[in-house]
Amino acid sequence: MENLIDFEGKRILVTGASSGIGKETCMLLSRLGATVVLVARNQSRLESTKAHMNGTDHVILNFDLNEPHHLNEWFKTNKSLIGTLDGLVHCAGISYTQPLKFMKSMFVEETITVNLTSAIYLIQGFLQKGIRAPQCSVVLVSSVMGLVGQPAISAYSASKGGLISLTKSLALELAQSQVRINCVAPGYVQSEMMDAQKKIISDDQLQAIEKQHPLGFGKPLDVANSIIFLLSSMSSWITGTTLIVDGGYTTH
Amino acid sequence: MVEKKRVIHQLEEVLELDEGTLSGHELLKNIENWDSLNILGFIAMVDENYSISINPEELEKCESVDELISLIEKKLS
Repeated sequence: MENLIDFEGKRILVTGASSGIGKETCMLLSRLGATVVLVARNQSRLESTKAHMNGTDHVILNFDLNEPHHLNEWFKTNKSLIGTLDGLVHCAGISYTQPLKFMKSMFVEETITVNLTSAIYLIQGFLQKGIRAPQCSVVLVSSVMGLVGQPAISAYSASKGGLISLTKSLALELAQSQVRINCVAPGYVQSEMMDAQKKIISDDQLQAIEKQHPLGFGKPLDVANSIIFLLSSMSSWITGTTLIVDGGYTTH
Repeated sequence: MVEKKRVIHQLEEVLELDEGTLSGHELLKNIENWDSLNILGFIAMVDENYSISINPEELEKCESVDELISLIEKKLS
């Protein structure tokens, strides 16, 4: 029987590995045989993710993506622990729900930095000599909010939309280097990010959003499955694209 | 204890009403700008100024400006 998705012997770095889509991606990668470099800020939550993974060779590293300009140095310093990477997945992200007139610069800056700017430096660091394998794949987690609009999340939308454009430019720039880069654009996923949103939007509003998803709210595994596809050789002729994983939300 | 005048002034700012428009007895449903977007701003303002979090369900139970102030006081005590 042919196994089209086999990550045995592969090393993948995942940011946002402590929760939600990142955590689920790490766990799925481990079930498929990959060794994962888990990156986030919270050590205990990273340990918890690792404890739920198959295999024991996975590496935990801390990094605060609010300071992304240190990433090149961080990759070099931790090279022996990181190893040679076959893939990079940027799942780390924060949401910021606020109408424009109430937006505070501190939260705007953090949203753009963690969601978008850090992706640029992550990829730059990943492409340094000796860090990545000759053929590799980068997956950035964008959002349907990077494609369509909703009130009160303009900074988040700007950051997620930025990832989509970043992907297109870099796909062309890096094709000859045998680096593929793609986005996934999830709809509303039941995760810690949604739990945080529930504190500021009402049950009625949440139900209304759910009704806009023909297949209902998603689960982190729904998105992790798509990330794995884009990391795998099954997508070897795919680059610069955004795979929408949204239960039909953006269809109408 | 929270100063009623201060909260009313902050609420007037969030709702972009002239200072002195509100006195406390006003029903929220009758205030034109009391909508979902400004409610988000109110929740953020309360968090920033009083370090308390109010969720939409708690807000829905408030019918008047005075009840909003009572809710803030209750959360602070």
